[in-house]
Amino acid sequence: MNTLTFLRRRVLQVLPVLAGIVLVVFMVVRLIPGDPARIMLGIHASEERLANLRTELGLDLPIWQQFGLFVSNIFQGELGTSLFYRRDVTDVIMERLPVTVTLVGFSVLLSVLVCVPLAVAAAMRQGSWIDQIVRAISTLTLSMPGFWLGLNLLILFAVVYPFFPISGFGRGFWDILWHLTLPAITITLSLAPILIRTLRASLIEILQAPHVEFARTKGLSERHLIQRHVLRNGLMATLTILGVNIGWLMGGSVVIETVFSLPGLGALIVSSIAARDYPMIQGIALIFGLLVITINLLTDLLYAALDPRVTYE
Amino acid sequence: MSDAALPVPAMDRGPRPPAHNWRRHSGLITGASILAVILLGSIFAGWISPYGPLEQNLRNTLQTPSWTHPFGTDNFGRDIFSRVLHAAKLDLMIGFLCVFFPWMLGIALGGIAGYFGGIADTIIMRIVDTFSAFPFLIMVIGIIAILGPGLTSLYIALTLAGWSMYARIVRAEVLVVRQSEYVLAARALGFGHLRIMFRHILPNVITPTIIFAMTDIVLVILSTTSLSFLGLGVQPPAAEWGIMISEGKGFILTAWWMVTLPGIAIVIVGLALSLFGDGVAKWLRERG
Repeated sequence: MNTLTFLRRRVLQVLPVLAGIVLVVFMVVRLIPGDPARIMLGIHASEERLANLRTELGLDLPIWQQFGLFVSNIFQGELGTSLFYRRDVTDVIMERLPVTVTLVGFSVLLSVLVCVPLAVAAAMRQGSWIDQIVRAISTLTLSMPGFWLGLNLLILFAVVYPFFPISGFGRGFWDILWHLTLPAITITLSLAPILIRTLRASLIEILQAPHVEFARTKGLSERHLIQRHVLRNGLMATLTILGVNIGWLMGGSVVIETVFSLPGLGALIVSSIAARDYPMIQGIALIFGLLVITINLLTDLLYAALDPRVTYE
Repeated sequence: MSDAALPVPAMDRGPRPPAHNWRRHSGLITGASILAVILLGSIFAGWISPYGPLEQNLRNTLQTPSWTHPFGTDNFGRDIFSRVLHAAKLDLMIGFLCVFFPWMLGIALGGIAGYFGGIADTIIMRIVDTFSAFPFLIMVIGIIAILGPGLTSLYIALTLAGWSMYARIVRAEVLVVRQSEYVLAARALGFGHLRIMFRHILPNVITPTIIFAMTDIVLVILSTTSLSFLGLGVQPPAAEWGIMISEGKGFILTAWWMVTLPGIAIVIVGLALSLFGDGVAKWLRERG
């Protein structure tokens, strides 16, 4: 099968999952036990306000019509009105999205910068002290909950030694970077075990591949070997691992944003649950689902573009 | 080493000496011992520490760790060491049940999909695809949003978000075993579907699910504490590690022990479970 057919099939594969996500998000309000309007507005709401909300959410229509309305609204970028902010859900999400995207992006960058050299070092010298240390640290951080790690970093580097701010997002590039450093380090430390383990394993596999053996017999220096033959393949592996874990990263951002009081989507979904702001919860769940699907798709496409040898079935 | 140098005929080897086994399963034994100590400590918490997990003492708030209060006290004067001990029961039970329920559900649905194939397979696997497209934590949070925060919601949410991986594993295994000779023989003998599924297929596909469950339980306990930290899981004033850390968040400027010490319990349990899980996985693989 050629690349183009693969691409077309891969994009088509996304459609049922996309439909599933829209259906699940649609169900969020409909599955609330009891009267959703009453739950959202509280027990003291007047009959008039309840009736208005039911009309607004289309809850008085037959269920299949509700779904039709929901889907057509999504296609128009219309996610309803937030009950808490009394503004368009889409607008609020668009304000908050950059914070989450910047946090995840910065964390991914930091993770790659830290993990790739460590994984290369561990894979090149299996069983050496550096391999042992890397493995011990990654086993340890694997058992650490991100929120606890984040709070301890705050205590150490924002309270005891005030290098970094305690909370907030900041303004301007450097200020934002300064505010996001501790959150990004926290995410990096949680992501590192997964990234390093998988990368180390795939690098070891690459190092034993015939073409690397041949290059070594040819007398290439180890450094040259790594640059020319190992890193290129290793980076592809990193890309795949990151793509697979992007959903996990999004989930992590929910917790980390709450710890560091960052005004992103993750913190927003948590506060929206407390406020019973269902249109907002639906909107954010939909955006998270879409982001994960898109990034997984992009990873696959990038992989196809980078590695012409890969054959697809 | 000596084995390689002096090959001994296989017949003369006999059973492995027990000391050898001990060392090979040191991870399993260490992990199990730590877990046993923590469980016993939690069960007998009333004898170990004189303070109740919910017992307030407003004249004794925010005390630094000392001999009377090894982990200090919180903003209500509750003894943190007692609360950490009592919490182990709850967190370990949630961890166990929230792996057990998805495991059962996943085996049932994955088994049906793999065994019967056809339309059942298509429907079940499309549901699996949708469930695994959502990030785990976002899925759990979404379900909790529907049901409202609380312990029951936590069980339901972690079950619904966790089963799909087990279904995938079981289906893949069943697809292989279904074609094996002993299953064909059982079918030729005219055994019913239920008998073949439970007596012939299930025992042969369960090992990989247990190996996965062993790593899953660490993730589930970390998720439980995270959700409670966010206010979406176990509710205060219950003694639970995530809640305790969340209560400590407001006091990081003055009382570091409220955050740091309960978390160490999570790390120790996580490490012990990892050691135990790796050990069990190794043991299961060696059994074949």
